Amino acid sequence: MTNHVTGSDEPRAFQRVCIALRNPIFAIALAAAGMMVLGACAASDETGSLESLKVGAIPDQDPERLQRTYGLVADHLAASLEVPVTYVPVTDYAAAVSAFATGDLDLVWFGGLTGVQARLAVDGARAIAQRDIDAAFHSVFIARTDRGIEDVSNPADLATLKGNTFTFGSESSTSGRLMPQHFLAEAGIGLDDFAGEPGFSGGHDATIQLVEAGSYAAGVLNEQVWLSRVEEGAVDTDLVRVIWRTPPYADYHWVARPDLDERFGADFTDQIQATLLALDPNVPADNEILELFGAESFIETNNETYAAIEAVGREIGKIQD
Amino acid sequence: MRWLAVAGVATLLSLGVAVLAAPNGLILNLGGWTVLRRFLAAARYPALSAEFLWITAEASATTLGYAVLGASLAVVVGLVFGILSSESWWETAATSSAGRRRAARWGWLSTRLALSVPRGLHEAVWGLLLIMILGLDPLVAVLAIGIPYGAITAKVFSELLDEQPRGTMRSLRGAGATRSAAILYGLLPGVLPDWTAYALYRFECSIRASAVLGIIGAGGLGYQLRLSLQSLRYEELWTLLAALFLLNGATDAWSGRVRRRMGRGASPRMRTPRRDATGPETGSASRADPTVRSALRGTALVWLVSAPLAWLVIGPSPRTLLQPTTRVRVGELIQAAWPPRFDPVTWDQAALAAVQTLSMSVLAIVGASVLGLALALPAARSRRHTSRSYEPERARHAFGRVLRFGGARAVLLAMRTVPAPIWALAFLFVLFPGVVPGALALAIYTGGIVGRLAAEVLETMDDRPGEALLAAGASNAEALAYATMPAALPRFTAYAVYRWEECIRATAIVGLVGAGGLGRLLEEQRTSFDFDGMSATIVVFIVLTLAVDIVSARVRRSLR
Repeated sequence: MTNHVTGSDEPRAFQRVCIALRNPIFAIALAAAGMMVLGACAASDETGSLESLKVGAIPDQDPERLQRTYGLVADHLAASLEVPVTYVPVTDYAAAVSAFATGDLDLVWFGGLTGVQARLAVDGARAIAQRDIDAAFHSVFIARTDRGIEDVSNPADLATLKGNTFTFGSESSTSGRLMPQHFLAEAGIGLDDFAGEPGFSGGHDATIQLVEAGSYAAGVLNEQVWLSRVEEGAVDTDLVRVIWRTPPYADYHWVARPDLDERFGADFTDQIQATLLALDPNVPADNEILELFGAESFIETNNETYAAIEAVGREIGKIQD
Repeated sequence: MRWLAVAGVATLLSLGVAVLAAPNGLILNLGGWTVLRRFLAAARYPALSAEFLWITAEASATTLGYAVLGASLAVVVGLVFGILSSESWWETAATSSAGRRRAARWGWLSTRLALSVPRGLHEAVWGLLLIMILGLDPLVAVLAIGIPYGAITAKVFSELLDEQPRGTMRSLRGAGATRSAAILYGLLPGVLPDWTAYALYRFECSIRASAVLGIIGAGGLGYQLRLSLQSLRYEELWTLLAALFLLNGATDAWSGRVRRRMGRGASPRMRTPRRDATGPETGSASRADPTVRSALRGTALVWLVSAPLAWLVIGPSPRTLLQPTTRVRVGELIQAAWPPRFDPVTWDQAALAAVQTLSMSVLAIVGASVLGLALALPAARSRRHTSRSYEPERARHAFGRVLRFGGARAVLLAMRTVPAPIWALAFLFVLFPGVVPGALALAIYTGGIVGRLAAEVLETMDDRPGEALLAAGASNAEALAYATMPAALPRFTAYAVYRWEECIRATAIVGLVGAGGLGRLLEEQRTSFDFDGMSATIVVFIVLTLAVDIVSARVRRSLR
């Protein structure tokens, strides 16, 4: 180091700079400063862009299908509301609720339970629309045909599941976990009556595949997803069949944040509601969206519709205080 | 040997818990065999469409970007708090009176304790907590890596600093230099190569942490892995795993090479303490050494280029931290989570889950040690054969040896490349949720890390006793059993015990995907927005981690 300095004829100030630059600590400090400047520039860029409506959904199905469905929804909303709309995907149910609470999502397609959780987390959030099928929604219990599990005609017959392996969908799913667990409990079946611990497949499609493959002898899922997959021929009905359809309950719905009117203009939330309700199965573009939702139309709803779900949520422990 | 007996008893107890915790004693779920087979068969047809390869490349950049920024933050935190929590720093504070010395002692102890809390939680748990506050912000992943890794780095940096001879620092201080000047010029130059080596090792870990954070939603390869697994598109899964393998392999190879040039092993914990400075492996190379200097300069240069690039790719906005809404969220969260709910029901649940977590971690580390050591033997670059003069009959074996070496290295890399939650999900195909799938997943993942470091121990060990035995006519196996193993085993055990601390933290993430223990409990509470229950579980978790820390430190001290 020293011979480097003394053995050269360059001006001293320049040498000092060279030596300083070779010192890693100094270089690190310099780089950190550079990064701060860069970060500040990047951050200040963002403020200029037009505010967009961020649409989300609980990831209850095949992610690719979600992308297609909500991409179409975002385009449709953007066209009729004349604001930029983006679809923001999330990986789990609870994250969708958290993102709604932090304001990263403005309008979310929630399940019954997650919708209640979201509205408890955000004062003034509004349930604005549900599908025609959601007012009286059902779950279906499915079973492998080769495991000797019998059809269930009244809830007490659910005892046929005892001693078999069983999987729910996501932990926070209304149709894949909450209501089924409620109906099982009413029939006197606890989670420890199954063989091994019950699984949580994570989604309705995953439940079908795991039961079809035999990982679990039986499972439970959203009736609409089941019917839609059967229609598409995606399920081998020789291997898997429905053993019971649950009584009806209210499920999925769109929930909007309370600050939308303030941010996008008066009556903005009502306009979103009107746009959704106006989807017409006779218009091909509208029908494509409705078909992906497995519905004929969207209908009006409000927070009170989900009082029963909230009660069951508290009973199972998925809603606290 | 005493410790081996203890480990044996602990393993048996843990096995007992694993069996008892399984409802109806069921562990194997043979029904899932077809799904597992389908998954394995898909390895022959990885998704190679241009579109998917582009997605994979983008995801790799994101994962790498999070790792670079996370590790950078960890090093900055480590620098600041490493100095603040070192004995040397507090020594400079106390020059004269006993009262001030006591104050210094307390200062040192309290900073140490404060650092142990962020260390007690796994990166992914930090990620889940930060999502609740910051929402879907790239900052979540950077902070989730930077906070716990920063605390770990601070601890190691301070230990390395305290190993330095303090003569120069004391004379500077005596000559009237300020505290910071005395540390900066008296201690830092000597410790810099060690710190840099450790920072590189943390960067390797950050890549793996970044993949795990993707699984919980941060984006990148982990996120794509989760999407493909959810839609059961196994051919995509294999493409993504291959990308992760390449990313991990390249990082480990680069960082390993730099560290070797600096004469530093994989982890400072693997080095023998400085006091027996006779062995060839102790860090005799100092910053004055030109090789070390150029390695340091090269590392600084790579970082100078990659950090701003990573910033551009990820685009975090630190302003989010200062926004009033963030402060409100933190306030609300603390209000909802405090005090932790310790009613009898929660206690019962948490106690049972804690026992499961503990046994999962014991089974995992024992399994990892066995797997790691078995693979480390063929994976170590043996100096024995190269140092000997060339013998024609040995050349025939050379090819097989290279094959075995490369194979063992690749297996170890694959083991640690696949994130532990993905291993767990794979085991959940054929095992019921519970302790066993979690322990297996962690054993394989940790085995990949332990094996690599064990191989480095074997490579850097004093080889002369083995040479002597070989020269005296002993076989390779005999030299291994009577010279290499007795020398390597204490250091290896010390490292395994240290790694146990990491294992118990990692039980949280396999729990999140459905294996048992505190992680599973935490996930159930998280999806119920049961904040005071969550804080109770987190308190139990931190206490458990601290207890394991203390036990492990004791064991390691007695092994020296």
